[in-house]
Amino acid sequence: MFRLPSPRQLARFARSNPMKHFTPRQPFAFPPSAPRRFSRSFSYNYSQPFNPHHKRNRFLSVLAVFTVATGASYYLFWPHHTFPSSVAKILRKGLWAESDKGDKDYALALKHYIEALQECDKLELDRLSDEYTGIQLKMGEMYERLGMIDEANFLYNEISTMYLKVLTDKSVTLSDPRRYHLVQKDLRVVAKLVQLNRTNLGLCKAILITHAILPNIIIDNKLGQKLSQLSMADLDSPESAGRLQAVRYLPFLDEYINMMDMLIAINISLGDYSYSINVNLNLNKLMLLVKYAPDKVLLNQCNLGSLLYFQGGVFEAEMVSILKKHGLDIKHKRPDQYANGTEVPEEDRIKFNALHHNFAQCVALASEAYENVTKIANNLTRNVRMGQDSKDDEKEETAVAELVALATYSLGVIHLHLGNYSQSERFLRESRVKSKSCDYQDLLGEIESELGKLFAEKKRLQTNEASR
Amino acid sequence: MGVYIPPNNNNGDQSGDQNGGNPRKPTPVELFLREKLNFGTNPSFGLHFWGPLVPPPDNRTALKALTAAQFFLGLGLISRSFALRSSRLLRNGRVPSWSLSFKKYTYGLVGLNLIFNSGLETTRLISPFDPWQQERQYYTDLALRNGQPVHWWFGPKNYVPMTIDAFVEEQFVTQAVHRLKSQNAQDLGQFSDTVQAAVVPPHPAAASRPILQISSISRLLDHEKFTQIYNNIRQENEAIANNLLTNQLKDESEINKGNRLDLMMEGKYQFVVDENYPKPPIVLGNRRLETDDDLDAVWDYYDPWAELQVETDISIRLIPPSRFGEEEDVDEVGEA
Repeated sequence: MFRLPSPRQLARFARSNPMKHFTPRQPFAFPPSAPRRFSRSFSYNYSQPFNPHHKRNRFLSVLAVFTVATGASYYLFWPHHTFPSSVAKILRKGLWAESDKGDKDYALALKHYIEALQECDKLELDRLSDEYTGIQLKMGEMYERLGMIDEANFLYNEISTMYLKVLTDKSVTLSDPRRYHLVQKDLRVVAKLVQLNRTNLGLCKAILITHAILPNIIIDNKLGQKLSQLSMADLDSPESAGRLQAVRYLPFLDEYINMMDMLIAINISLGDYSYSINVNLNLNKLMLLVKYAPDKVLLNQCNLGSLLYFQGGVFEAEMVSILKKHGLDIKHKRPDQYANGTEVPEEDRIKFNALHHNFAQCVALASEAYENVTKIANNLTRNVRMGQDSKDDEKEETAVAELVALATYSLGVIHLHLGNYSQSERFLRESRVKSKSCDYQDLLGEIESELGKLFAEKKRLQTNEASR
Repeated sequence: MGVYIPPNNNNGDQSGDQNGGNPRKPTPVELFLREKLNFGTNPSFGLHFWGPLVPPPDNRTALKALTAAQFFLGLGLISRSFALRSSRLLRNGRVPSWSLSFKKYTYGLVGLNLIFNSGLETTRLISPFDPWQQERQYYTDLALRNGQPVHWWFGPKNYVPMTIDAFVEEQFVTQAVHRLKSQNAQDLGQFSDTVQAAVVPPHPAAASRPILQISSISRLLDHEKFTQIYNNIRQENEAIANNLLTNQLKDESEINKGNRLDLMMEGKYQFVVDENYPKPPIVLGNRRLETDDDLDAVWDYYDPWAELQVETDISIRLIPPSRFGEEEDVDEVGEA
């Protein structure tokens, strides 16, 4: 066998070829002087005519296809006009009637919005699209402004039921972003429904729970386990970082947290504190997980303290009812004081002691939660930001300052409840100073009333001692 | 959370906000291009090659398409470069020369560069948080509020996107104003576990009660039931709307607005407008509402979904009283 010539050898050969100036672009033909074995050594068919434009043409056509595709995507996906022209024409009239220029004529605006929606139906626009539901929201707003609350309720119900209908439909395949988008919109409408029906607590709870299922499932899937069963030790492991990242960028997270807050508030009104505490703890986990805004985390912690304190109150009420059953003085809240009452059966005494233990634990944990707030608020890391401080920075700082005042006040209230008057007075006065510095008017009234109770109590004690 | 909050000037929201509170002054070259030639560039990681053809940050589809086009363009150039190898040339009957060699290396380098840059752009496109997108939306809103024109491609007048350094800063360093120290976050987490352990066991009912029980989920998420309810409500709503159009709202029009306003003043109008409705009405100001473009601008600015979000964003603060049985304060603080 002979060796193949290397490209370099070939090149040298070509350069030495005297014919090259005459046939630069002709099909290659070996000069007669070349040994014949060269032509045999290649299996490639050299007689095929060389077409230098062949490849370039293909390349150009690929480029052209991509240019057309890009152009088409600009045209198709760029939101050049939100509504079809016939709908837009009616909507313009509606917006005009509703605005300051149209003398805030809500009835006329409502008429136009209804017409616009009917036009959309005629054109068979997608009822799931944000544009279609946007017109419905406008109608709902007009109903509310005109005092037609039932009609508004019906309309919001239609939107939220439609989302549930589509999201639970197994025959429809939705992409993940689309699904999250629909869930997000659903949660907003649900929040509106709860605000409209706030007097009917049972209904609100039912609505919230029904619509919380889907986001719960999505979050649990992203985490790979149930949020309620997640312990905080899991959070720091590096393998969980990716899953946490996935949860952090769920678009409906703000709405979900909002919704859970509503659930807490409604359960407080229903008197179900333990449920609220449960939700609050889950929310706390979720917020820490996704590194949520610290003012919201601290607010949640502050609410946890209050919930624990309310739960303690439930235990205390049971204790008082046992005392009352046996005709004992309600002021005797300590078991050691109570144990002297020998006429009380053993069974009730054990129950009382257990209740007292729970009460003491709740109050201790509540104090700890409030102390967490004051401690952590002073210890926040301030991010270095480019440019000047924005209004949002100020808003967040005010929120944190108000929370510190609220936590201090709550500590004072707990001590007042337990009868530690000097400590209570110290906390309440401190809270008053803090509230004044951040102008927290809502709390200042409460502080004054609690201080009033404190002074009355002190005075009563002094007169009792003096009369003794 | 995860949202770019552009730094405000001190005169931020006041109406004298001439340039829309821009974060960065345009360089003289940019100013010249923009104002004299009406020519600007949208920001990107690796699409600089396309100059003013780079789509705006909020048109993701176009960005993706252009990135793909750039990738294939680079691939094409590289294949051209391969076709210019000496051996290939000889086989095709061409003679290697200096100019062809130069062409070969140029094609190769440019092709590699394009592919590398389209990879860079891909990292931006798959990142879940794009400060440029947020920034552009923010300044578009600002310009719309002040009734300034917004160019559909280059955004508001005089708007210059943030530099790549600022982008990196936003993306990786400052996503929130404050952060919890990690030690504190851990403390909170442990405390939460303590509370769970301490408070939940005394209530067997609460312990076994996660927010939702699995058994009830399938019962609650019944597609057929929702379809039925939806169809009923839909019919009901259509009937309400038709009824309104044919009866109460039949004669309402722009022409008899004066009469109706008079009736409203006297309190004899069929509808009573809720004066306590929390949301302020639409203020058109110096905006016009004559073409479909105008409608898009106003609809974008008063987007019903965005307004609903603001309206329903509440946070709840519990203010405990010292004695139970008194009214417990559930203080709902609107974040509007």
